[in-house]
Amino acid sequence: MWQAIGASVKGTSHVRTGKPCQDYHNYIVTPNYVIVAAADGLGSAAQSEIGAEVAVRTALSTLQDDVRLYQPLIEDSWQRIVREAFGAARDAIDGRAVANEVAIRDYGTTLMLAVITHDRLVVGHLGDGAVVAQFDDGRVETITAPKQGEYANEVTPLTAKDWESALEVTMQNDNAKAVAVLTDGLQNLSINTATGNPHAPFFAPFFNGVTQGVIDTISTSTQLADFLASERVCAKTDDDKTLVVVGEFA
Amino acid sequence: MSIDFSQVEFDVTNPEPRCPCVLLLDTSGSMGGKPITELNQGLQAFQSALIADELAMMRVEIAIVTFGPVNVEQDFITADQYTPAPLAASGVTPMGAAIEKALDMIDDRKQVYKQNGISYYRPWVFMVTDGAPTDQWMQAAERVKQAEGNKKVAFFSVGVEGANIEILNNISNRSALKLRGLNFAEMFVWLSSSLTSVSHSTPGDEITLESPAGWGTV
Repeated sequence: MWQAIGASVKGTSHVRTGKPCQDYHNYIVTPNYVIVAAADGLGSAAQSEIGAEVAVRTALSTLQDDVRLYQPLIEDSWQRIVREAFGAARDAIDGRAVANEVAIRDYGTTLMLAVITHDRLVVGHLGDGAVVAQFDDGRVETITAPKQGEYANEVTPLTAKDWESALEVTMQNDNAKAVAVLTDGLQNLSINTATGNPHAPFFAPFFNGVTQGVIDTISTSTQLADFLASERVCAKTDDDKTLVVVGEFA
Repeated sequence: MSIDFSQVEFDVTNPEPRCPCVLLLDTSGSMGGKPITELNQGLQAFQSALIADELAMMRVEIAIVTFGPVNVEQDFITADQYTPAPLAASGVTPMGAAIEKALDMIDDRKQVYKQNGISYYRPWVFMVTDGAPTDQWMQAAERVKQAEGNKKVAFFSVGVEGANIEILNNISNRSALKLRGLNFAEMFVWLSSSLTSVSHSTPGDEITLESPAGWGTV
C-alpha cells in the first residue's frame, strides 16, 4: 500500500513582505501508482502562486489520464507522457496568461513531477528543488538535483522560452520504497551542496515513518506543516518550502 | 505509527551562498584630508549595516582594492569577519590596473566557490574615484563591458567631486553616479542594503535597487 503526506508553507521572508506562499503541491495515491507534483513560483514573478498552482493541477490531471490509459507502458512512453504533462502545464499557464491579459512571465514557476509504481520511478524536473528516493536495498539517492544557473538566484522556469531543453526526465527501473519531493526552501537543509547527495539523517524519520506502517496521513501532513513553520526550520531558511513524502508499506 | 519530527537532522555542513563585492577605492593623493576620513567612516557604516542582517553578514563577501598604487587591502572575507582598517591617501590614480585586479580576483574567487560546492550570486564591483585614470584604462574598460554583457559581474562607478565622469561612463555600460558632497556613509548604507537584497534573493528574483537619491545623482 502507498501512503503520502505533504505540506507547503510560507517562508518568513514572505511573511515579512506580505507575499503569499508561492509554493504549491498535490498528489494522487492509487493502489498501483502515486503521482506527485510540486512547484515553486518565482519570487520575481508578480503572480507566481497562480503559475505554481496551475502547473501542479494541470500536470497532475494530465499525467493521471495518461497513466490510466496507457499502463503498462514501455520505457519510452513513460518519458514521453511526463514531458507531455510539462507541456500541458506550460500551455495551461499560457492560456491563463492570455485570458487574464498578463505576461506569461508573471506566472513564472518551477515544476517537479514524480510517478512511482511498484517497479519504476519516473521523474521530470525543471528548475531547483530535488527528488530523493530510498530503494529496496536501503540506499538513499538524489534522483534529480537542483538545476540552477551560474548564480544562486538563477533558474529556468516553465514559463521560459527554452523550458523544454532545461527539462530533465529520468527513469529508474527499480522499486522505490519511499520518495521525497522538496522545493528549494529545504535544499540547504537536506541536500549536500558540494556532492549533491541527500543528507540521510534528514530523510530517515520521514522515510521510516511512511514505510513502517500505516499513518494518519491527514494529521501527519498537518504536523509536517507545523514542522516546516517551526523556529528550527525557519532559522535555516526564509523561503517558502514544500515537502511531499511517499512510502510503500507491506 | 507516526513521524517523530524532532529526529529530523539538517545538513549543517552546507555553506551559505556567497554574494561577493569588490570595493575599488581611489586612495590617490587628492583623496587626502576630509575625503579619506569620510571614506573611512563610510566603511565603518558599511560594515555595521551588513552585520545587522543575519543572512547578509554570512553571505556578503567583501574585498577591497585601493588604487594609488594598486593594493589589495582586504581579500574576500564575509561581512561578519570584516574589520575596516583605516585607509591612507597617496600617489597617482592607476584605475585601469586596479579594475583588472578586481576582475582577476572575482574570476579566482568563482573558482574557489566552484571547487568547494558553494553557490554564489553575481559579483559586484563598486568603484569610487575623485579623479581620472593615470594609466591605460581602455583594455580594462573593454573587460568590464564584456563581463557586464556576459552577466559575469555588475560594475558600478561613483565619482566624487573632481572625477572625470565622462571616462567613468566609458568604462561601464551603467551610468556613473555622482556623489553628493562627501556622503560616503549614506552611499555605503545604500550599498549594504542593495547587497542585503541580493543575498536574500532566491531563484528567479530580479533585484530592484533602491534609488541612490539620498547620496548621489546620475
